[in-house]
Amino acid sequence: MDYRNVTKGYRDRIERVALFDCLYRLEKKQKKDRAGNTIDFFGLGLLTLMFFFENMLIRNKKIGIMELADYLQEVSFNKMKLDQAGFIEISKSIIDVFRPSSGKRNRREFYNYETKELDYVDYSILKADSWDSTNNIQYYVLDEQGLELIFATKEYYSEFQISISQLLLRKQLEKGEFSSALRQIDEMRINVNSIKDKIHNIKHDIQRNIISDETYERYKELIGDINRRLTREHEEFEELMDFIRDTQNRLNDYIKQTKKEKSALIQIIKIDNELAKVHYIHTTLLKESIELKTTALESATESLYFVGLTSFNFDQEITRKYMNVPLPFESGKILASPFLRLKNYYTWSPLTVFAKQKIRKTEEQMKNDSYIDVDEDRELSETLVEQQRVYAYIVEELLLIIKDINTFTLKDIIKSSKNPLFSTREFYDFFIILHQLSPLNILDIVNSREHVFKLAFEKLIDIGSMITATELKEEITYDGNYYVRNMLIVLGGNEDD
Amino acid sequence: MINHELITQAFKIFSKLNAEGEVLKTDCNKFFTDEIVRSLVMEFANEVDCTVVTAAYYIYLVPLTKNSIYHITNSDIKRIYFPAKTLNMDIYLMYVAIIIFIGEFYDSYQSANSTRDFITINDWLDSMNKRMDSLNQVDEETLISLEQENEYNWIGILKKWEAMDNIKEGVRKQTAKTVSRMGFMTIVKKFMLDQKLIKEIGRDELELTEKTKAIVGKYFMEYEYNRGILDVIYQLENEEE
Repeated sequence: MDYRNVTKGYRDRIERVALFDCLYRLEKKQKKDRAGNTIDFFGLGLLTLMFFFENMLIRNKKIGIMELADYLQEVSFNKMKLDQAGFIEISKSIIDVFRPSSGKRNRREFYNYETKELDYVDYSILKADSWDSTNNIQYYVLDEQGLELIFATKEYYSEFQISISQLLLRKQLEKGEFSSALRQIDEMRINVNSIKDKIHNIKHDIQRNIISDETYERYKELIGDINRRLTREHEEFEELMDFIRDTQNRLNDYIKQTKKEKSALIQIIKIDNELAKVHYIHTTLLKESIELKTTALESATESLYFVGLTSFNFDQEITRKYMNVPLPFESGKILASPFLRLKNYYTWSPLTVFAKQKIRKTEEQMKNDSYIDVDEDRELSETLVEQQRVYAYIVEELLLIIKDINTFTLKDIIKSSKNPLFSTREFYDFFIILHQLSPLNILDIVNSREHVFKLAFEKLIDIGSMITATELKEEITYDGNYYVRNMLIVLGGNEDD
Repeated sequence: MINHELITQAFKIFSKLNAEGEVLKTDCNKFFTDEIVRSLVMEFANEVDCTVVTAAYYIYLVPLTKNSIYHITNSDIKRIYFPAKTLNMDIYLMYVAIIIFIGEFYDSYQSANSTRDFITINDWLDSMNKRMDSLNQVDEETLISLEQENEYNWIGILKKWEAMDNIKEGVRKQTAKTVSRMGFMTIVKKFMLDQKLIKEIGRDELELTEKTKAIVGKYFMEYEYNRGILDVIYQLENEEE
């Protein structure tokens, strides 16, 4: 007998056992009611969980301490001698156990016989969902382990929860128990959502924790399991959907529809809708789990890289070592070698004498040969061309706004209309450069190939010969992103402005 | 399946070529004795637009096109060898000078065996002048169509050459810095020495290296490689005679 097999998955088992911890912790509470009987906290705890679950089913999210107190009073009718305040007290203490007010998660520490070291599991039964700020009421819903605990009180594992629900649903549909089928679908929805949370948690865990191959393998297995399970459930969903459609068609085909059949039809349509919603969420999960499969590895390498990055300090590891104890030159080379490129030989090949050449226009060379004009041979850089285009576009937009006015302020422009252009950096850059270079002779700019405004000013040639920008006092902004001093732009005019 | 050991051998040889550009024959016996190693190394070289040439004591990695990752760029050539404000045209003129230099050794590429042991820079300059003059006799029209056909800047090269004086008078020593034909030849000489295409054997006596001979013998006479450039430079002489 191999003892290692016995302890395999010890932690997961503890996790299951730890689910019930809260209930036993409640049981230890020694409180008495006014009749002197000990209050059954254990039972009330379980009732609380069921209450939250029921509310999840009917999609009622506003469950706070008051609601819980009312409910407990209702359920334990005559069992306990307590007034309302007493019940509120009980509600508070129960919720406090399920969701410690310290903000720390519930934790169970144990000795892990599999890994031979101390270990712990965290669990969260309840979580805060939303809150009513006006009345200062906090609402709660069941968290992942809370749901597991509820399911654990039924006879099957939560892993197969959806599959089991699907089977039940099929049976119910076959028997025509439509109202219980609806409930079954609601349960399914909760299940699917809890898987959703689980997947998201795993995603974050992976991005945070993978620093060893071992953990990576573990996650890989986990994701693989989830993926397989989702695939299986997905197929079943598809079949169920078909089945419901068939039932619907069958009911539709009845020629004389009794009242009962009519209501059945209405219900089945509802079932169809509800199931379709659940199915949709489920399908997106399947996609996500497939993505997880691929991103897990990426994240793993990424986090490994960052771990290396943070733990490696160039100054300490390399520079100081080299400088403090003056090392011989040779060892310096060895220290530096991981940061250097491989040696690569560069040569010129005699065959290049025959290589094809770019033929340039002869007229250009006629100009002069002894003095070399730099401009001729230079390609405009890509960024410059890009900039020229951007500014040309800005001027085009401007012209649409100013029509034929040739004196305007920047403020006029941005107040004139809504234009996404006004919230870009480039728009303001344009005016700032304009202001710096002002006054500008438009024709000169158009004739100089490398000026950023060349293309932009080509559009202004017909309007005037000069452009000037004068700064004004106030600051203006379009949407608070950028602030700039207002300026007065004058188009036209003469050189002596 | 190729034997793992042989792949490693081939890789060793190639990585040495990658770093140094040449490997001593005695350091790569397998290249000559083992067919598989040899074809692997050739295959590797082929993948990066190169070939491996054997000459004297070495094997050399030689780029077949200027697109090979091992090939030095024009801007590097300008930066290292030429004065500031150099155009590509200067480099093209240098190529013609190199063709003519080598041509002197192979009797204008008429024979595959070299017909001369060394050349002086003056003889080289004379020969260059002669070729460029005869190229200058060709009418503009023909040159323009030749430019298009060869994708070779014949006119630009000629103009460049015409614009330079033979030597700059008043300068005592002709160096690479002097803008003159002699100064230009000095630049080309330095370039060829650096690239191990030629060796200086005596005072102002230049000879081809084994590497150059191997490359010329294998590729220069092939039309596939010389694309008729040699015909343009040398058939002109034939027309004159």
